[in-house]
Amino acid sequence: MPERDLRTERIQQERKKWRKDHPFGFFAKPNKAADGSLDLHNWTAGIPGKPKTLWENATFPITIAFPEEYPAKPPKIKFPAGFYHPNVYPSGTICLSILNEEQDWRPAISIKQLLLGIQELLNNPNPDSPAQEPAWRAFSKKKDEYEKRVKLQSKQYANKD
Amino acid sequence: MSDDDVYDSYDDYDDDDGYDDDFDDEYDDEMMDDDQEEDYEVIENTSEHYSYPKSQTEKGTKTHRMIYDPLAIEDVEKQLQDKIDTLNSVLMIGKDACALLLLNYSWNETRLQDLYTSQEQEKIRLSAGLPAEPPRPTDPMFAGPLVRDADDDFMCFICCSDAEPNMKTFHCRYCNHLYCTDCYARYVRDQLKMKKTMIRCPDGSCKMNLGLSEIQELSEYLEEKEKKEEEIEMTKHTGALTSDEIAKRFQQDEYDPDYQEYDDIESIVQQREEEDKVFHFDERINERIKKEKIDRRQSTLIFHYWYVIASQYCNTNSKIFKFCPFPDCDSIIKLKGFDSDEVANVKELADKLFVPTVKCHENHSFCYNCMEEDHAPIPCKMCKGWLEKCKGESETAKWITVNTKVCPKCESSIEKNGGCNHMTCGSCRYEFCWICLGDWKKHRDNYNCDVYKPDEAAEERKAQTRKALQKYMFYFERFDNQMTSIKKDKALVESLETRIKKVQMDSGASWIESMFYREAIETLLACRRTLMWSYAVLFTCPECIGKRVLEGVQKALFMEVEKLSKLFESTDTKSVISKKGEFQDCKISLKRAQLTLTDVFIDQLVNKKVVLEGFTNL
Repeated sequence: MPERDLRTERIQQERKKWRKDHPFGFFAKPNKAADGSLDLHNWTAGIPGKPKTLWENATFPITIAFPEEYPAKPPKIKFPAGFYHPNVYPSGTICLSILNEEQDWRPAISIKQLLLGIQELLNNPNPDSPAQEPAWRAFSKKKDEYEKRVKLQSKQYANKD
Repeated sequence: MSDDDVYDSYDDYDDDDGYDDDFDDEYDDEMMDDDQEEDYEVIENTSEHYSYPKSQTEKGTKTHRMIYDPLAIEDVEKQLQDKIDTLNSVLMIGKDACALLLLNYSWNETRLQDLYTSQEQEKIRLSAGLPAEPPRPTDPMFAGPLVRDADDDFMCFICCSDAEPNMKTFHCRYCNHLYCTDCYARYVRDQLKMKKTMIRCPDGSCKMNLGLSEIQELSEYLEEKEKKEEEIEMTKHTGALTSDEIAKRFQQDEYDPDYQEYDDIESIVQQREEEDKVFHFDERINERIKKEKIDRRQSTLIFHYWYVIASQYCNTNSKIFKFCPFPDCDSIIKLKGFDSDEVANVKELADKLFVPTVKCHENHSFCYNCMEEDHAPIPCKMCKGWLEKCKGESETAKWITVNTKVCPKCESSIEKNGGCNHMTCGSCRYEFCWICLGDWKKHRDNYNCDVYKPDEAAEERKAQTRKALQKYMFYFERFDNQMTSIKKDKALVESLETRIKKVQMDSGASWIESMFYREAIETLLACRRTLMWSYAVLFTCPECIGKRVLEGVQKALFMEVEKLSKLFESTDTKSVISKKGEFQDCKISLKRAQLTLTDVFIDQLVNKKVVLEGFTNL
């Protein structure tokens, strides 16, 4: 019996579930390789900002990379480098407990739960775990500047109507 | 309480005739004496260890004995299990719940008891990953075993396997998130590897934690599974041998004249038996137990869980619990206090220049303050300073030995700073040849070279540095000598097993009888270490009367060390047993000398009869 590829099986299941049902405004799909085949281990996804927040009317792009050990280890989820948010590292890596193996990652957390968690984080940053200086400093000291920058970023990723 | 009552009534009765009062008092006194004696014995029996054998040195200096318990990690586990039991006897909510509450409240049971009985109960339960209210035990979902046969429409969301025959599911007691037991166990194992003790249900939104009994059940499932797999493996192997093959083998045994394997095996077995006869199993058994303990801890989930809990507990209470710093040793020293109230903690003890040496369960001696191998009698700070100096100076010392030579006439060191071999000593102007150190005049005078002319001031500076260096080198050489001896003796200990075996074989002594040999070596090692550090103390000691005292006891210890060392060297394994008395005597007087040395050093240092100097970082 060949060794089972738990990672791929789980990702296929996640994909099936996602296609059957996913929250409004979100998208998530495997990348296409150069030859047109699907790269199941690397996904691209979009997270809509919640309405009536600084983040509304925009969809923020993320990449999801599933490591070999997935689902024992969490996928690596990143915003584009330089993304403006107190809990996003300059590289785009997101500082969120459910994405951290050492903290709250659990193997049964679904893609949907992860993406909803990130959407929640957008407008509710955690000031106790700063990941980049500019956004964190502005968020805790200069709210005006923070809001201005976030709105500008939302415009950059605005939904095309 | 009831005893008192009885006596009271007895007293009342006696008061009536007023006769037996005296007898009564006497009887009471006697009782008290008995009690005290019993208490005393109890104290003697509990293994309280002290970093110094007496609370005063012979000179009367208080040693502020550190009282401690050497523990194995299992002892800590036992203590924590007791805590769980105690809490459960008060709250009556089950051991699982108590364990989770205690884990969440850093084992502070008194605080938990207070809080749990207050309004906060629900909050406390939730934060420990328990359902808000203690559930009724009759609910079928939550009662009985948690490892169950999978339903036909089950799919494990972790590995995405559909239900198949023999598939088992698992869920934690208070939620209905089912996963296949293999995934669940793998998840728990991963969590334990990350040293997590609060293990949540794998579901992303579930807040329930796994309790002891749940991990126990998973653990049993895994063991069962492993056993079955082994059995299958076994049947596979035996099944592979057909009856023809068996017959063939038999024939081979009977008819093949070259087939002598059995003879070999017999001789090996015989040899083994012989070895076992002379070699007592104690040591090997201990080793095997230790190995099995570690294996079990790594392979069995519940043991691993307890190990993580206990080591985490020790780490969070690191002022009281410290792990033995020796490699591969997970013994723990529990600090119980001091027998004087003048010192509150180990740091204060060390600041007074005492050395809190402790001995762990596995007989490793180390300093409880700086966690280095035992360095008595030198205080922690100076020990560190000395080691740093050794690191720095050894480079200088090396350079000097490599690049300079001593003038054959006046013995000052000379650096060769040119290519020529015609040397003239800077201080006595003696001319000699670098190569042969012979008189230059007697050399054939056909070299063309520069004569080294030192600058006066520089020479002065150099002389001073050299003097300091000489003093350092003097003590360092002695320090280093002991260190090398320790290393050599340690190698001896490592080959001890074979040596003792040889002693037993040559003399026909039993294991117990030859134990004195091992004890003697261990004493020798410990004393060499003491001696080694005493040299470092003397280096920092200014010239004074106190120093002469220190040198006196040091010399005494040195002589004893040499005596025992010589005895080891001169005794061949055949005559070891006959010299048992000699070894014992040597060991005893060596131990006495070591004790005197530490006593005297403590007295001199702590009472500031000698004030050490020399390290800039002091």
